[in-house]
Amino acid sequence: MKSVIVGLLVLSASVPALAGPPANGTYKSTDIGGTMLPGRYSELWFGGPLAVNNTLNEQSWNGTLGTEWHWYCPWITGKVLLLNTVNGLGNGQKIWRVTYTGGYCWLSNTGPWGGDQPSYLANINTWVAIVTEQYANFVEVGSVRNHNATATFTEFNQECMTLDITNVEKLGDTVADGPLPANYPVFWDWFVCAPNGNTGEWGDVDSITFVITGCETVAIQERSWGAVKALYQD
Amino acid sequence: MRNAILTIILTAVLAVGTTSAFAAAPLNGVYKSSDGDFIEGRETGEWNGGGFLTVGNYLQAFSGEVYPASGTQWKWECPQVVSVNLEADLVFNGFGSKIYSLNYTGGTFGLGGGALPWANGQSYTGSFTTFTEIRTLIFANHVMVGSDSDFSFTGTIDGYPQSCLYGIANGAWLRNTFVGDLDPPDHFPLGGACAGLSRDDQVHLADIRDITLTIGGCTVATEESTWGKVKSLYRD
Repeated sequence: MKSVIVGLLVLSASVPALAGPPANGTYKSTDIGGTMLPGRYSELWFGGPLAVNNTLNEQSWNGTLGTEWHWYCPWITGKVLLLNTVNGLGNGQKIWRVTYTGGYCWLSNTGPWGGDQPSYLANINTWVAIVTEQYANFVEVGSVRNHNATATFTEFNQECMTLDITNVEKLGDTVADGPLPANYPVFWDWFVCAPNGNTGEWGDVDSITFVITGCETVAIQERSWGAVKALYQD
Repeated sequence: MRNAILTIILTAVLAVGTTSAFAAAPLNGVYKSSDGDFIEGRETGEWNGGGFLTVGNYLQAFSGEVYPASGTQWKWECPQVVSVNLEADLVFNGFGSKIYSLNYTGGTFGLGGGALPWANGQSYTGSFTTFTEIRTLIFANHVMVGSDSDFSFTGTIDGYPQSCLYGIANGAWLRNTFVGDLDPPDHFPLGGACAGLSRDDQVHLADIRDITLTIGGCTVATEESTWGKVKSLYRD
């Protein structure tokens, strides 16, 4: 009887052990000749643009949001002004390096990385934005960004990571342009990591280079033979 | 008689000055490629300095992605890299990103006429006064596999003394290649135009996207005369 139970346990443990990660590789968004989807973003404001606690929400876009990837809940912890060419008339540019922390990356296996799990989750390790703002008469009239991020997949070996860089263009904000339009990611608040709030900005995300590296097929509920035996020791 | 001549001359000078200052000035405004005001474009980065991130490189970027439209709406020609600084190194074990700032000097630009929203009956040329690129590279196993950029610049339009053009844009690296492999169907500015690269020299190609151009304050042409200057021409 004991042998049967042990056999069943080993069998059941071996099924999730076959679960595979997303495929390692370098993926590019369709706008620069690749196969993964570009996307859209919103950033919830806590007091204004680039303020501490502002929270990002980025989703793939192909007429529907978030079918392929979703980065959510990294929040701003600080910013450094790298360059300021705004003159006495209020015309010019400011370039900021903005640091975020926290947040998650979700991938569907319908993306070019595939995988035999329906979806994958990763914890964001680093997120840095270079934000270039244009001013006219002291009013911000345009903003473009480069984002770079790293994240470690849960449920797989600790080297199983994703890295990415993107271009971002701000298209509007709730102060200057009214409410968040339909078909842009809703505002998310990192305190609850869920939809919340109604003040912030939105725009496009493209020119994506997305790397998945170090991922191995590792049992997500793997048990060693010793661990199984230990459960039934006399 | 002298007063009559002076009046005629003054009227003529002021009329010319006024025409020069106002009739041909580009129209003030904020213009965006994402609003459909003008089209996006492509860049050739010319590796005169020897590499992707080297002092001495030049840049050319033209509007248009369909040959032969390149450059009909806007052009950036030949700003040259004078410094490259590493702003952040986020690469661990060969994986991650590096952020560089590149400062350029010199270079000229062109803005098309016709139906473009800034045109006031003519096209325009000018010179950059500042030109900066922040370039974010991504590495996999120590190899660069992608690069995105933020560009920002200011410029003077010919005939107007002050900087009155301001611009920002995104850039997306596509590939490295050789001048000899560039041809019109690639839709890129032909490499080597800034400093005579030969066919075997290397360039990189990129998209230029998400452009915001602001024109403001181009209302005082350099040939405008003050009342004092005009009077001084006729002092006893």
